[in-house]
Amino acid sequence: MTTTPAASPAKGKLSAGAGIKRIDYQEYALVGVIVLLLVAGGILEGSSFLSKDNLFNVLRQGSVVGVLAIGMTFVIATAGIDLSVGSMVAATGIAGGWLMEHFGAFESAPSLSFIIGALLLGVLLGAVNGAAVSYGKVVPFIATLAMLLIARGLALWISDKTPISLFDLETLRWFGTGEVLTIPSSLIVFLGVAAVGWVLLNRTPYGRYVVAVGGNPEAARIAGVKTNRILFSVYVLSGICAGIAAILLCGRLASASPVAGQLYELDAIAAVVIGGTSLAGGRATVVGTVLGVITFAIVFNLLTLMDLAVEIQQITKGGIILAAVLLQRRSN
Amino acid sequence: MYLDGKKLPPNRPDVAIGRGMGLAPEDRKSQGLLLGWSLAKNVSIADLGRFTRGGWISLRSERAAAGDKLRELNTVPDNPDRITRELSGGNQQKVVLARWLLRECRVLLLDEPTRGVDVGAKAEIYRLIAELSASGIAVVVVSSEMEELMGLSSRILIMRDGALVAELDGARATEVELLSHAVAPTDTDVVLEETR
Amino acid sequence: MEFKKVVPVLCAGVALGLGVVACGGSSDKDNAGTPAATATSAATEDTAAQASDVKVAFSAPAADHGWTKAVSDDAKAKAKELGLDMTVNDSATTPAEQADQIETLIQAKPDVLVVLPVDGAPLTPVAQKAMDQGIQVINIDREFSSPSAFHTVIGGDNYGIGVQAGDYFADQLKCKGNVVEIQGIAGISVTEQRTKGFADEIKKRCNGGIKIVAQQPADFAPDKGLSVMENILQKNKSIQAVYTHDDDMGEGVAAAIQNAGRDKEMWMTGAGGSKKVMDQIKKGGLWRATFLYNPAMSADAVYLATLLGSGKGLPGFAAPDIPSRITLAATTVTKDNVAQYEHLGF
Repeated sequence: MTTTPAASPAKGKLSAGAGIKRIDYQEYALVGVIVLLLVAGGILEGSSFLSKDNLFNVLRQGSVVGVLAIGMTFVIATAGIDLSVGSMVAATGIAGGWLMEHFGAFESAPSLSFIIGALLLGVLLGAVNGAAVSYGKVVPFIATLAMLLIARGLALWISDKTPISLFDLETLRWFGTGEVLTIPSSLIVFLGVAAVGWVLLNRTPYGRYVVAVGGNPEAARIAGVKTNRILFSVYVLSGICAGIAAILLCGRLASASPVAGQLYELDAIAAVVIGGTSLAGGRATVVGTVLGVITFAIVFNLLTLMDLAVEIQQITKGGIILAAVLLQRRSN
Repeated sequence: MYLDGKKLPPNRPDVAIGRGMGLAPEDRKSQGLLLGWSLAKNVSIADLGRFTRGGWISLRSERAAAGDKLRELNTVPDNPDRITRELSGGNQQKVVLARWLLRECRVLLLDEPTRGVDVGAKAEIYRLIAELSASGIAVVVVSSEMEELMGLSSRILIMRDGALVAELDGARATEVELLSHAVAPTDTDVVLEETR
Repeated sequence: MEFKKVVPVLCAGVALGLGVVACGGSSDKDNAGTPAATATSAATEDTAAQASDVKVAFSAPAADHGWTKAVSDDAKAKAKELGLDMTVNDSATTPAEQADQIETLIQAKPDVLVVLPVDGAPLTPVAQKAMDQGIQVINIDREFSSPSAFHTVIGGDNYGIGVQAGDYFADQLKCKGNVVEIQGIAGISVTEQRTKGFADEIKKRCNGGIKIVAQQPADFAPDKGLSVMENILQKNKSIQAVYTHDDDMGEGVAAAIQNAGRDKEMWMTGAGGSKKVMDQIKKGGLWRATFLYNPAMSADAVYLATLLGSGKGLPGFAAPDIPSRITLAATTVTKDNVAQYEHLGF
């Protein structure tokens, strides 16, 4: 099954007939899980958890992995995977910091040069991944695993293993910590990326082609879809998302750290998978991904608020992923 | 391969389709259709530009056009929202044909179009091929059923081991003739007896 | 599969390459200031003639963190100063990886193996193997679990850091207040020692007056420190002070506190002794103190290796062999004495 504009609190539901119900079920289930978590959190932690401050805190934190997860949705829709996004966040952040430090022309607009540097390297690294997978015919797991190492190495090398301070970049810090009408700017960026992702996936020919390539690459090819170009492009999208995530993270951290982003790819993949997108490709949902991101962000927040030992946190997170995947199986 | 006198690059279905060709592959399930998709999406996939304005697909016009084509072919069921996996072999084949009808291609390649198709649907497909041909579309049918070929074709090309070995007039070809060309000749001269 | 073999080789190659690049840049990070080096700068002349004959192999965890990078840089600088031909591995991220690297190192039969293990216990067998083969082992900081696995251990005092921190907090808070503890990587002895030292000392001094209201690990990564602290700030509306296990990680914690506008409400401490944090301590404000955990102990270890390899004892000491245990004192660095220790900042 494929892209569906299905139920969510924010968007309307389009009735579409048999079969599409499967993803609706998944997304309904996630909304249910989130409501449950909110209730549990309210009971366990009261106003610490349910306060507007904390809920926005949760969403602000989730925005970084959230942006990564949108790009990941497209990659996984083609039956691929991108293990390098965490390292790419660090690398693109460092690239942004480097550009800001070294280009005199940009001295008057350090935030702008950071943003350009981060996005540029994101596109570049994504293109390398894309080329390896589509034209080099390298299995996505291996190609992006290699990039995971290369990007991390690049981050350490360019920065000489020292974080780059971004304390004075007011505009950049606004992206990480600012607000628009009390809504965190990080969240706005995340939702913006999600909206663009939704439109791309569900209402443009590009989105159809992406899902077709994942669902049945041979049939897609015979129907005239330019499969190589599609495969290449989704990794570039993922790279751009890594750059955007770096902007949000470094803005909030007020520094570009070469060791940041560790294991973010697993968080992104987990969010995409519990949201209902199939790892086997051919079926994707941006709404599901957003719900998955929110679910994990709430879990992390709640477990920290409860000051639970880290081993309990790990087990809980793993348990949620297992439960979500089993639910997916049953609904198939 | 040449179309309109211009060479077509090999192994580039997207280029061929761009120039007006269409292909209904031999294994429609694995090569022709996305079984998990709705009928509408399978029909529109080769010609999405038709329903796209400023990058945005109009789901309504897509559904309507797909529905029209499916009805033309008497597809059962013809509701474009149904999932392709649920249809019978013959009806699935019609979905593939509907795709190329929608695209209004000029040359249609059909690879074993009636394989795994029930008798009623077969007849319909033959009728359709005749109609298409009459309307000016070049239809190339690949088949291993000789009766089918003889009934449908204006020209029959026989290939053996990848090489073209004979061209026969469709109206006058006989089974024996077809067989004799299809089978590799031995060293000794064999005189065929005309049984008719 | 081929790829499996290529990756470690690539990593080692990249690490060595990085090592070359790093070496070039660390010439100004001299160790002339460390007490050990000052005392032995005279003696160095004597040993220099023979020191360069000692074959030393050096293994440390991935030099990707401020502190571990300094460990690696300082060791390499010392080797260069002594004219040593030293093989360096500083890319391992897991004990298993490091054990493999050490296996390879000892096959070249060095005279002395200097090791800072990712964690002591899992690397004890391979260290024991080296000792059994006649290769002397100098253990830096994270101690192996068996005394026969090394000749000498030189390290900081993680428990001592916890105790010093506990004392500092008890004094500054007058034994009353809410404290948040941000730990390093859960499960390794460094973390456990720093936590225990702190907990024991505040119990001894304050007997419950100081309450640890939240205790979470942040894996020595600033972005993790950021998120964890953001959540803790939501839950705890009155925090007096924050005890973090690491300066670099602490910067993320500081960012969270500053973003929330609560930097006047509390103060914080780190550990390690990074230059950035010492500058902040000098300026005054959120950062009040850090506890020295000088990465230059690796340089000292390299120096000890040359003594060991040439059969000498510590210069000026009567004993003919180097000590089996050297524990470097943890020093509390605050605004009052930061000028004294600035040169040690990494």
